[in-house]
Amino acid sequence: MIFERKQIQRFYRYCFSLTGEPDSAADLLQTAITKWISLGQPGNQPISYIRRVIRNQFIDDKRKENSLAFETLESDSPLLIDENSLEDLRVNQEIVEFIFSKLNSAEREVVYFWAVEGYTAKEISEELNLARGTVLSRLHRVKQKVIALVSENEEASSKAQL
Amino acid sequence: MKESFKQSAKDFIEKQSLNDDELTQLEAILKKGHVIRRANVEKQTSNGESQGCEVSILSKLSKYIVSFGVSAALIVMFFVLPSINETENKSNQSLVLDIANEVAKNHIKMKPLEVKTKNIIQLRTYFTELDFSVVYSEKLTDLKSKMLGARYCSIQGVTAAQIRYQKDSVNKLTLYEVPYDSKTFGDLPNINENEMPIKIFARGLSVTIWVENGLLMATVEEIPPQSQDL
Repeated sequence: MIFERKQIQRFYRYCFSLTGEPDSAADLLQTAITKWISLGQPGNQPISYIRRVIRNQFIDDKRKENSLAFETLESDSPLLIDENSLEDLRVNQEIVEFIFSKLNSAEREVVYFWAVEGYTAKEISEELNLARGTVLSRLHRVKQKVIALVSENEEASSKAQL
Repeated sequence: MKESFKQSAKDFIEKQSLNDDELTQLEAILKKGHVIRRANVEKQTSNGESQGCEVSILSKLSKYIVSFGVSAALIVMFFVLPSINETENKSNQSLVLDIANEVAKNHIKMKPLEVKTKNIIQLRTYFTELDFSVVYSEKLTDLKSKMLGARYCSIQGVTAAQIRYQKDSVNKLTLYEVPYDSKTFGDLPNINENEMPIKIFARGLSVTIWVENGLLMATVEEIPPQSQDL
């Protein structure tokens, strides 16, 4: 299977969403593609399969660093009640990179599927083999972080103007 | 100027891209993989053609079936059908060997445990990234109290749990658990259906593979000294 450059870039962006860092994203993609080839390029849906290999590889890599790939959620973590409420969030484009850097890998991953791939919480849960509640909880945390960071940023800019 | 977070996040992520060199390198890896795969497919096709020859021999045999109906049917039953089964068994055997080699290799490395516990509930609490629940195996009931702990691993690219036991004063036994899917792992004996586990040797270790409660389980341990004193 030979993928078009556009598809390779999509894989890379998924890797970037997991690692949050360009160099390690490129390394992760190369390792995952090599692994997929060594497995005999399995999967009737290779795109989804490769994303799974990428995710498993990311978890493996994190384990080698003795760190957790995805933070454990408390079972009573609040859920995002209304998925559409995320659509109403507005931010200054200049602080998006800063916001992204403040999200953890699990949060960046759901943002990737929601914003770039256009998936709903249900679709994300199916793709990642997670409970829908877990995805909603992660989206809720994203929303809370974004609101807090936007408000911090606005306070800081208004102080600077005074 | 404020924009929707969704659009801004999309724009930011889509701004990230591999450079030309990195893309070319990945394309080269994919191309090489593609060539290997094509070669394998061609090899399988040519094997298929040679099987096609066997089929044409069979069609000649069918003429004999007219005259020697019963005897030809016996030939088919005793010679042709077993050879088809043999082909299927071979691919299943190679999957079993792949699994055995992978788990044996993992066992040899004896990587540090990520969680140290004798308690299955604590194990379940630790393994939050698995899409299954780790269980005790009925084949290892004697070792329940000798559990040392566990760590994540993968079998054939599927995230799995690796649970270590202190088998005796010297030797350790590793149990691997992963959701069973016959497409990925081939047909394996299910002990819930009273089938016997597969026992093979890989990398100088004794490997036992079976399916239990919907999970593929594999144990790896040292070969007992008495079986080597021959």
